[in-house]
Amino acid sequence: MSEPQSFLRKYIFSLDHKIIGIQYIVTGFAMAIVGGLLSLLIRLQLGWPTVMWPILETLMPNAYQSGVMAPEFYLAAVTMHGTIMAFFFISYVLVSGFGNYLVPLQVGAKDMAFPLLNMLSYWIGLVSALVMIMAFFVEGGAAAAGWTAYPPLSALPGAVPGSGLGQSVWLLSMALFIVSFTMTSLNVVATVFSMRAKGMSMMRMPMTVWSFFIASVMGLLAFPALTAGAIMLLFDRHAGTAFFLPAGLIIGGNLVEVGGGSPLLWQHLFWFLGHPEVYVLILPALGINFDILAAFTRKPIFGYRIAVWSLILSGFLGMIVWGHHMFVSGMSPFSGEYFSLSTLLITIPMAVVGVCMLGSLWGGRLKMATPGLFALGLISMFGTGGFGGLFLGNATADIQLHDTYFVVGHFHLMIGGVTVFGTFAAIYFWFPKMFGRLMNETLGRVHFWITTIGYYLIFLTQHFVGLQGAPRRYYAFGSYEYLEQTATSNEFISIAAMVVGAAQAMFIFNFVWSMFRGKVTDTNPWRATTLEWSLPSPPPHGNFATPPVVHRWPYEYSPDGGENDFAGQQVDGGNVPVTA
Amino acid sequence: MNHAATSQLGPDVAQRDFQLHLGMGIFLGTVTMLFGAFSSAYIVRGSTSQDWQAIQLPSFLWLNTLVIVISSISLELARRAGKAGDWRRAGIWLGTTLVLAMLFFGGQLAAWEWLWAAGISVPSTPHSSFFFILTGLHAVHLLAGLALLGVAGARVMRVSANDPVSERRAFLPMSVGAMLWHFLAALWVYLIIMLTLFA
Ligand code: HEM
Ligand SMILES: [Cu+2]
Repeated sequence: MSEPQSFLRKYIFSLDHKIIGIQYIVTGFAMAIVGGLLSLLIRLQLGWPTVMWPILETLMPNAYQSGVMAPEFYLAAVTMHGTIMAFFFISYVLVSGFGNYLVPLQVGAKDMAFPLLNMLSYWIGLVSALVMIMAFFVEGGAAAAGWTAYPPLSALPGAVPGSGLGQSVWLLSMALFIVSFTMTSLNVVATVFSMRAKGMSMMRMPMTVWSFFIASVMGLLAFPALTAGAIMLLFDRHAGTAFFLPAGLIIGGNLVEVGGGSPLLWQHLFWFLGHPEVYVLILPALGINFDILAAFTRKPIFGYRIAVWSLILSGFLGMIVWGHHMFVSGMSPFSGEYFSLSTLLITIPMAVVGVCMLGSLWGGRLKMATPGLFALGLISMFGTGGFGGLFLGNATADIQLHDTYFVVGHFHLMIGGVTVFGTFAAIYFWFPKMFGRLMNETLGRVHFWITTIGYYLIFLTQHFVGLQGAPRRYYAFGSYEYLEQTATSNEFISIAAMVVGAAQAMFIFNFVWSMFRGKVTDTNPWRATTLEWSLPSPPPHGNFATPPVVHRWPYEYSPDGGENDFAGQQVDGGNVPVTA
Repeated sequence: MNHAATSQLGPDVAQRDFQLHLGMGIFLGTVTMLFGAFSSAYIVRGSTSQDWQAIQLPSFLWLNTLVIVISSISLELARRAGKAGDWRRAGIWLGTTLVLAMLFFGGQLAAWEWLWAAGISVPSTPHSSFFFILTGLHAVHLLAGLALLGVAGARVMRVSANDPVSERRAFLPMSVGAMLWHFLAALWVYLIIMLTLFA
């Protein structure tokens, strides 16, 4: 491959998977800033519901008439926060971003299987993100039906202000997102199947590659359900059909003419995507974590084969448990039983993965730097979040807990904790490969400790607020006597959230500053074994000057120490150990 | 994908051909899920509501079904001829396929027209909503197939026999296109059965 010369072709309309990966990462973080600011607005409202904010009124006169957040804006903020964080932050940074950056490098390929498709995927993805942001500026404001877009709120343009143009824009953006994400997933699967280097058998692939591979397969199989749902919803909104609109619906005192449809149908279609989607997000975080742990414990991970099969199994089970989001929807008790059972089943492979991670720590010589700290933090979030999931997976308990802050606390530990910690671990770990410089270690450590402690303060407290009965998606708790007891907790959570938010600003500063001023490092600062570390930093266009040959699995570390306590996958000779 | 043209062009080209077929295969996997999702919606919407009303579909749709099945067969004949390097025959069968494809599109338009004239449109009944959306979506995918076959046709017309590069260029869109086309033909048969016999 010849390297393109012009700036535009090299850095903007690039076909190089590494550039595209970094483009995705930067875009995702930009979206995370928007999503994060929204969460702070939400917290401001929940923590101090009666305080007036004249500054916010000047900034957003429509949302803050006379200095108080409008209830409609609260709903829009929650919806957009959730949508942006799940689809435009984690999906972009962790899955599309690192997936793009790492998969070809780690399987020893010169690029993705379809570079042009890859570039298209990014640009469609960028448009999709911009369209989503645009929703704030259309008449009626952004969509307000939650990131789950349940009808009838999402199906009747007149239901709430955000159900108007904002919801249409939301659907349009999601359609583009699905196209873009499908292209990336297709590329990952095709690359793993067809571009592995000589010697890179499936069972020699790093956990990172395995996790991206499984996540991509799941994405390809699950997203079409949302596509179908979105198409039908668009027809309900604009063409007078009644797929999701029930009969006899009364909105604002008027009977809705069309009807006979099933709002439950949407929930099934949404969660058939929605639950696999959380695995699409969480599996790469887990896979990456194994590889980072290995480099910081200086020993092979525990149970490679078992962990691979557990990821595959959880991916499979993840496709058939979606109904646990719908226990209170009036589904038949029989289905409830089934979904309870399958959900409890899925905790088995997930627990095995957790045990493998803990086992990987056992007997290691922990030499901690920021990426390793975040890897440990991830394990802890995974444990705590999973523990909460045990309660929710049981239909009997969930009937109490559903739609309370217990759920909010749970899913933030999982999809907000595990995936975000995985993302940070990955950034700190591969930053030197991307830019040839290290991120600042002190800032990194401070970032880690504030984020970890803050996350627990925020989201564990939310569990208890939930147990006290506080429902989610409520704009203010002041008008309910039994919820007065949550006021202090809510103030506390909000303060913690502000502190965590501030720590992220520090991270962004560290990222940008280190790109130009960070300590210059050699090609393999963590002395890790996967193929990308055998390349210069940043790796050249086309990655490998000559096609690499793989001689061993990716976890050849020996804890007896010394400079040469590891062997890269490309290193020939020596005794090749049995895997797992 | 070890056909005559490729094997002379070396492992990189063979690899590329494999990848393109693989990519199409993966794509068809997600399309299967898309129509699977619609099918389950069809079942749920049909079985949980009181307002379901089956619409009468024009019987010439069965004729149209025959057309797309035959087009699939003729495309397969074209593909095999191309693989054997018999480009004259490949051209004839590919031409036949394209004519049949047009015929199918015509039949599709006529069916929509027919319903329209009978006063049935997308929102009339849930069944008609599904009919229009599913056949429309199918047609959109067919257009993509048609584009691929069009490219193949143009290249087959200009192919120089015994030039592996030019033969590969002609064969590839035909072969990848055939995957899509066969799939869509089978999908159509499935859809028409679902929409008529399980209305
Ligand atoms: C410091 C960080 C964060 C804070 C303080 C925060 C806060 C909140 C709050 C207050 C809600 C509204 C709960 C409700 O009323 O139902 C919410 C919803 C949500 N958040 Fe976060 N969040 C944070 C980070 C994240 C991250 C990183 C993700 C994803 C990776 C995420 C995903 C979601 C989702 C999916 C929802 C549900 C939205 C919906 O119900 O439609 N959040 N968050
Ligand atoms: Cu779930």
